Amino acid sequence: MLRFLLRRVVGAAVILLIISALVFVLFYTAPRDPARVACGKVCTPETLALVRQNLGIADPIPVQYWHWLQGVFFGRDYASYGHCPAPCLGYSFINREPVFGTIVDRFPTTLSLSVGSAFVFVIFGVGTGMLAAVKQGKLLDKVASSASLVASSLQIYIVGVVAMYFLTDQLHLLDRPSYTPLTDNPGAWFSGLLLPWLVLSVIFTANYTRMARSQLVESLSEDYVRTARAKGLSRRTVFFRFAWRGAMGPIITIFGLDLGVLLGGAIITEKTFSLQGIGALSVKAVSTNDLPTLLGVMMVAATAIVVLNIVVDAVYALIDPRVRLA
Amino acid sequence: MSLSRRNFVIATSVAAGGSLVLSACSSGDAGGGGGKGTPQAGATEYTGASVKIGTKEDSTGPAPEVPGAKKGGTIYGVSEDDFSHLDPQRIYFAFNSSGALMFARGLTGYKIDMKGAATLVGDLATDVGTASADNKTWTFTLKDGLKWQDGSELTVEDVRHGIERSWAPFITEGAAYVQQALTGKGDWRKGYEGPYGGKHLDSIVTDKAKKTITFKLAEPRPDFNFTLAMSSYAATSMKLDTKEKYDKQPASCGPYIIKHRSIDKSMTLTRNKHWDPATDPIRNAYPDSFEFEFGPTSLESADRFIADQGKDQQMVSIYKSVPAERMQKVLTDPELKKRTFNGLLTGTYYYAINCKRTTDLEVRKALNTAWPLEQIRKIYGGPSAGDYASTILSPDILGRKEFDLYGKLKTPQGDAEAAKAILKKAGKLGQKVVYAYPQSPTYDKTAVVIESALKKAGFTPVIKAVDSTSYYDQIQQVDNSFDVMWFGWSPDWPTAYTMIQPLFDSVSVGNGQNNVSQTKVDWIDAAIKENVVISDQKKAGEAWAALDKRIMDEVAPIIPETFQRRFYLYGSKVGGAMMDPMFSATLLYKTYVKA
Amino acid sequence: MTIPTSNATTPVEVEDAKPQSTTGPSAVKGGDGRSPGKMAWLRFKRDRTGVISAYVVIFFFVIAICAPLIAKLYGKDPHTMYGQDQEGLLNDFGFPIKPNGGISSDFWFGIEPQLGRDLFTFLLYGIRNSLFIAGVTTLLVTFLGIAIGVTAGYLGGKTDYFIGRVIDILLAFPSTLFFIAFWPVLMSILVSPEESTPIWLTVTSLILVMTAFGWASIARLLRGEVLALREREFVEAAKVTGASPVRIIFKELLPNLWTPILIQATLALPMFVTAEAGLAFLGVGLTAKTPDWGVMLQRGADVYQDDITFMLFPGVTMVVFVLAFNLLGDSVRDALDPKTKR
Repeated sequence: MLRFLLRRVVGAAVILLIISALVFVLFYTAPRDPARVACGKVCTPETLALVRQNLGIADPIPVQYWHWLQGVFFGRDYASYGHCPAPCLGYSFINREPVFGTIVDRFPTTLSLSVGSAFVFVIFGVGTGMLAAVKQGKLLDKVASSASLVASSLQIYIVGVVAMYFLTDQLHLLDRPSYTPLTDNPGAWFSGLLLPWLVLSVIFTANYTRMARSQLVESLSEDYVRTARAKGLSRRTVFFRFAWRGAMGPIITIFGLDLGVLLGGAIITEKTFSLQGIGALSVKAVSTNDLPTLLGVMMVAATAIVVLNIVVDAVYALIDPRVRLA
Repeated sequence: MSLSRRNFVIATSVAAGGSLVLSACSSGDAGGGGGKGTPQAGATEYTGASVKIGTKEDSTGPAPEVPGAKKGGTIYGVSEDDFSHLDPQRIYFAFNSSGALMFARGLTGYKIDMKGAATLVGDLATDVGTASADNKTWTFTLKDGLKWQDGSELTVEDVRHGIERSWAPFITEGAAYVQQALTGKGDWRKGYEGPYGGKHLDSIVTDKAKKTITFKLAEPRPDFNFTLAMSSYAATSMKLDTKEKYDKQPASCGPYIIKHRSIDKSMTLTRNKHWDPATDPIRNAYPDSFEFEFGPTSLESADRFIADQGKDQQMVSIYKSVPAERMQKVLTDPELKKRTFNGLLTGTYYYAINCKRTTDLEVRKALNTAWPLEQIRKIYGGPSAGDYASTILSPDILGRKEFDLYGKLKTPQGDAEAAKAILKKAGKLGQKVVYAYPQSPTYDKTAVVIESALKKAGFTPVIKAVDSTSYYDQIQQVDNSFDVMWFGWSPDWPTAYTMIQPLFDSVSVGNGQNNVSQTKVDWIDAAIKENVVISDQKKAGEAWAALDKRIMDEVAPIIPETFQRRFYLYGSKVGGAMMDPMFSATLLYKTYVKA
Repeated sequence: MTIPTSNATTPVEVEDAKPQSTTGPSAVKGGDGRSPGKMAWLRFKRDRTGVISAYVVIFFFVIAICAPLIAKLYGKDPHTMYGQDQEGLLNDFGFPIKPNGGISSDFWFGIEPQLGRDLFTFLLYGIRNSLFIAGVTTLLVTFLGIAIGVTAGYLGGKTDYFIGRVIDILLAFPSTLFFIAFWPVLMSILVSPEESTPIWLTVTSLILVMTAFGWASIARLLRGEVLALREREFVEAAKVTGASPVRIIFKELLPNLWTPILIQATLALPMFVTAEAGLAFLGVGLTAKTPDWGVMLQRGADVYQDDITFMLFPGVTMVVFVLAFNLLGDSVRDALDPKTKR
């Protein structure tokens, strides 16, 4: 296990390194000049050169990348800000703050959004799936299966908008989506995020219902489950001790992936509900040509995916004894 | 960037890649109701054109009371974006200036009456300054009792420091008018590196004992005292200057100090006990504190204004107007409409025609004739989004006169037949026209109607969506390959010089400069030189208005589009809320908390 | 989110470990003389949901292909701005005057706010364009996925390792964010500043970027399948008899892979339809000028407060299409792979 983790962490680090280098080169060589933003109304080439100097983007790309990497591990100093401690993902000359701080600041919104909805859709989805599997072929199964099929065909940018129109604007049942920090006002936090949670849950639940059902149906028909049953173990014990274990693996896998994507910045979700999380931050960074922030968000998003992959595999191995960690 | 500090919305389309323009203009606001009736816009008086030059009495504090106002309480401000700069010397955009009014003061400033009419008065100075006969030497005297937030005296050296700092290498965002006037050069940075080495400019003379500061300009500038009202030329304390870091938390000599600031999230202003209202003819300062919140989109804040609950009853929008999506609701509900004010922006939105490529005047006239203003404004949100433009100068500018050379007010939908006839006569039927615009959902849509109108008028349009973050970069290249470019400009002070000179003087042709039409016309250059030295502002105004008309008639280098209107909401417990005619924002210092 | 980097049934990093993945090549069992394909077809025909959804899907493709014809019969086109040209259709604010988005006998689905185009033809052409983009992307992705996945699985060793790492990077890449950031850069590189961006170029680029990020999951799945198959007796036997690698791949491996490939492809198409729409929603790809499902949804999200009709037509049709395709996909899977039959 330890060897596995070590290997995977090293692998992940290499992947992240490659992604960062790739993104860095692609964006910093692109024909869009971040210096232009800070250059003022009459932007002569001389002023522009001065701004480039001030922003530290006059150096060759490899040098800039090296400085950036150093900053990530050891922190670095900026003339206009001072010391930016590790992990210094860069300094945004739009926000005039270290990127890491901005991301940390926005993260709670995305975290609340994703963890909150994940909570709902996993419990609800897996629960429904289990029931459907147990009641195979019965009415409940059919209803759950077809409902989940419909739900999985929905898109957030359709359902979200339609839900906002009917539930918020017309019927005034739910609050317009907004984010209040949990620590400020738990009630407002909850009511502001309820609509996005519900919409996300409706869409994601379907996947889990289907997965849980098909996995359970399958593992219930596996030899080892039948063996256990034949040995006289109760239905319940077999279900939870064996069948469930076998079914959990794939569910955890997609859950890890979904969570990684959600945490990495649910761009469309945040745009649909105009929430100011990581996704909105990245969109804004694109429109303001704020390369350091963009790079920072990309790295956080990639890290979320990579780390959750490792966690998923580790958990998978713990749950399903058939899996050996190669 | 390309737009002045007074017009944030146009300006940020550079800074924010058009996203703000988008939120301001996207989607209309009617529908459902069957389309009967355009809501009445409300006050449409132009204020800028009535700018007066104040006397010494006008320049003496305290500011006239706002009727019914009382002291105390907290006003909450809300805005999607934080101020991008607070260091006065780095401020050029309007929304930054509207914030800077709370803590920064310059030699001159604008005193706004309750109707929104502005008067240029001495702010730190006792009056609007004394010019020599040739308008090349300007002298100002400081008032008594001016202090910084730590109680130290504000001296003429601090005023000079504020101007000399503009030369510091880290300050690149501010205006350059004073620097150019002092040096007489476009590349004014050469030969001086700012005050941090202990060197001072020879062209500014201070007398600490007499409290006077004298500017010896290289070129005559009859409106130099207007220039000094810009935030870029506010005083900065030599003692409290923290150079690069000053931008985060500058020292105050105004009614409020920046108590706490968390960039992009919040800012708290509290009273500056060293500010003496008797020295300040402009600012009222009723609330004990201001608390600004940054982040909510204009749509979210509009919904909070509409709900009007709790603290939001004491809330004002710092500079964000009501988004198009909520306009109908706000304008048709009398209770809500009561809690709004509105005004036109000071600038002109227009399309620049690249005269270097489109050399035929007749083609430029045909473009003007064919341009579909009505369809474009429909996409912006109809009549409540603003008025059609047919002149270069906005109604805000001193002396501006309306004319309609190309029938844009009569047939705002564009006259395809007439345009076609002009083209035919010039033998340019099928002329290829490359139209460039910063890509955003709104301008993607206007491009569709423009393309259609041009086709009907016999042009061959090529529609070019340019990545919005590099838009200004690309169109401000002298050798660009665009014929017509979306553009906009607001004056930095309400005289025509700040419109005509940067936009049409041949000196302003260059990479990164704003004469995007690339007009190099001798008589325009000559007229600018003549008009700028006319001391009588009324006569100057007439001369500029005549030039406006002549340019549009004989050169037609632009297609004027709209003078845009903005509506602002405020909470039910806010008194004194009105539009700042200079910076197109809520005039914060006149607001008060109602009992 | 938008780009299908993960696939429901593909465990991500537990490669060789899992004995058999769910959609695995559980080679069709049963041996009463009929060919597996025929049996699958019979099973499919018995599945009423599957048949109905197949009709729905076919209906969408038919109207997509016949869009110009339908528009001609209907007498309108998706580019004319009727609302701008004719009085009485749009009010001062650019919204339809008639209720329900301006539905009338002239404009069956109403008219588009602001620009005033005919919604019915616009939607037809939108479906046509979206399906074209998604269809081509699916073909490319499937082809690439097969080629790379099978190669990696069959060759093993360094090639496999290298491809595996490329897949790792692609799957960890924040692709949506990358698209919105990189799209304008890409366009400015590809298009001469003097020309407008031709639609074919936008479409091609869209297809290519979606393909570039889309093949990884199919390739990974197929690689796993091939790894498992490679050890099976019939492949060993073929190797021993001296069959060439090409022969082994085409004659021994591929026939056993058709089931997962077909299932993946049917899953992929609706995914690319929604992915493309998601990108348009974020402002990447096609713009207001071009009829497109995603473009309509983006516009719909802008104006929904005042004109929900404009959101509902493209929204509902898209949900119906995706649903039908998903149902069809399920039925195909059931038919080909009866082990998981409901």
